[in-house]
Amino acid sequence: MLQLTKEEEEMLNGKRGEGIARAMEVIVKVAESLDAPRLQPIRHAHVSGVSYGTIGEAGASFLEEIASLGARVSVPASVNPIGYDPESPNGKGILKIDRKFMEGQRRILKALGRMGFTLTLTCTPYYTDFLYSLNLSQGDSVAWGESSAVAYANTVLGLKTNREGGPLALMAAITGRTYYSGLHVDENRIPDTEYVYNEPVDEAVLGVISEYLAEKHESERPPLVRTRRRPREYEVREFAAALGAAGSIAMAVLPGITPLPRRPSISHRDEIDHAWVKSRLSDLKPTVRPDVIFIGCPHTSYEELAIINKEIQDKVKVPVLITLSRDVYIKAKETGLIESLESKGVTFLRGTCLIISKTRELAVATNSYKAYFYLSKKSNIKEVGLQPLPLLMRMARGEEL
Amino acid sequence: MIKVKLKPIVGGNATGEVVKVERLSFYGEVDPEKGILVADGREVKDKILIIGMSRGSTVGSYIIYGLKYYGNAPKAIIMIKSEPIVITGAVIAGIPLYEALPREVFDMLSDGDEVEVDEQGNLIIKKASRLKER
Repeated sequence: MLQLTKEEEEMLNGKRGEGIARAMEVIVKVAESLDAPRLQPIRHAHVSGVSYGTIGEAGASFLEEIASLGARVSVPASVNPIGYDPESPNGKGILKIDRKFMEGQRRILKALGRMGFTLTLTCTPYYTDFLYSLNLSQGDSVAWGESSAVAYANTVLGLKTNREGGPLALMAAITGRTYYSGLHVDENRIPDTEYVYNEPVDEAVLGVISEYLAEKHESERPPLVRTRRRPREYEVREFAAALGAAGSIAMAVLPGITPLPRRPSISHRDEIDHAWVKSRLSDLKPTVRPDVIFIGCPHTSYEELAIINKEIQDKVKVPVLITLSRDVYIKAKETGLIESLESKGVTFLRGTCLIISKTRELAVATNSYKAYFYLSKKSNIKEVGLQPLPLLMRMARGEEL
Repeated sequence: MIKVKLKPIVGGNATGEVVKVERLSFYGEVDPEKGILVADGREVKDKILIIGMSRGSTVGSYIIYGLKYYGNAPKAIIMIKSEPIVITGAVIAGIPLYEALPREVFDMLSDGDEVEVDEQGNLIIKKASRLKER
């Protein structure tokens, strides 16, 4: 039986306004259906599903409606990327956005701004000054909608969030609550199944491993994934994104990376078949010379930009597109990284991503399994090939692979 | 005539014809502007939409809202087991939603059957083509 506090009752009864009552009704109904005993206060919310390309007229109208009912965020709240870079709406020749799309997108941004969202426009809230300024610590509950960020929060940061999805994260932002269930409950974060992979890993290998887990992992608990070496930060980010794309896993446990409330007791072990991984990797490789090398799904980190800048010495032979948050862009601008990369022919788009935008016809190579997964379903994308960053860099330098 | 007790999530009264789908992702599989199922063109407008299980992107909640927005909402949604995407959509669109439809009743129902459901979740199957055959 769901117990509400007096304050939560008031939100539900409309004493704090109609907007908050609508949002609370959603949270309460979901909590009841999941048999949650209570609601969970959150410290931050991150809302996905804010691109006009994804949510369309209906989504835009809903956001306008709830904003006009007086709904406002009651915790600090950020938002996902949108359909184009607001500072280069023409998409630098890669995107193809029409006037209707831009008008719809502007309505969405206006409604979000009116409700008090901070328009971070990134799928990596964990690389923003906005999130750093909140001083969140391990074990804090948040409500994030973006599936790649959800898996990163649980796997790397030790922040607790379920895979809320866009609309529910919105309601959580307005009420400051989510349902106490799933990954907010400490015990549910302890793995009982271990997967071992004894060959070298990179983000492409981890992407394929996420497919394996989506298929094989049945436990409600997060899978523990043991690899020969500890993956790099950007490789873990790509893995988190892949978990959310290939399936609906919201957390993995990586030894030496993932904070846990107690030591796990593993009851089931599984060795991931190397031969299968290798054959999947070769299926996913690019077969044609790409029109663009796409890096930044999820949005790139500063460290990754520094790696790329080191790897590319001269003008690129294949165009490189990097998508990133405005925050990381500003930081890289200050240190000269952006200028250096731009002089070598690298293009940047901020606050957007190829997946949720509209592009001209393209063959793409990427190190993001998530981008591979979603772009391969888009009609304007002729081909998507998956390669780890070092091989993409060789491709950019014009080397034959 | 058969009576079944359902669990109401968004309450309301509705009477209408059944449209039944085993698995449904609202995002990608429902066209809110036309009020139809993309795969086979069946109409959901003013129907009682019976769903085995739902899945897919959380944008599905906005598609359910879109059905209402374009005037194509079903009169009610009845599921074997609900989940957050549909609950969120039904609440924001104000479409009656019920769960705990027994599997054997789901199997028995087919498109065009007539059912009635009330605020408390009492489902009455008024006319079922498969019922006559038994």
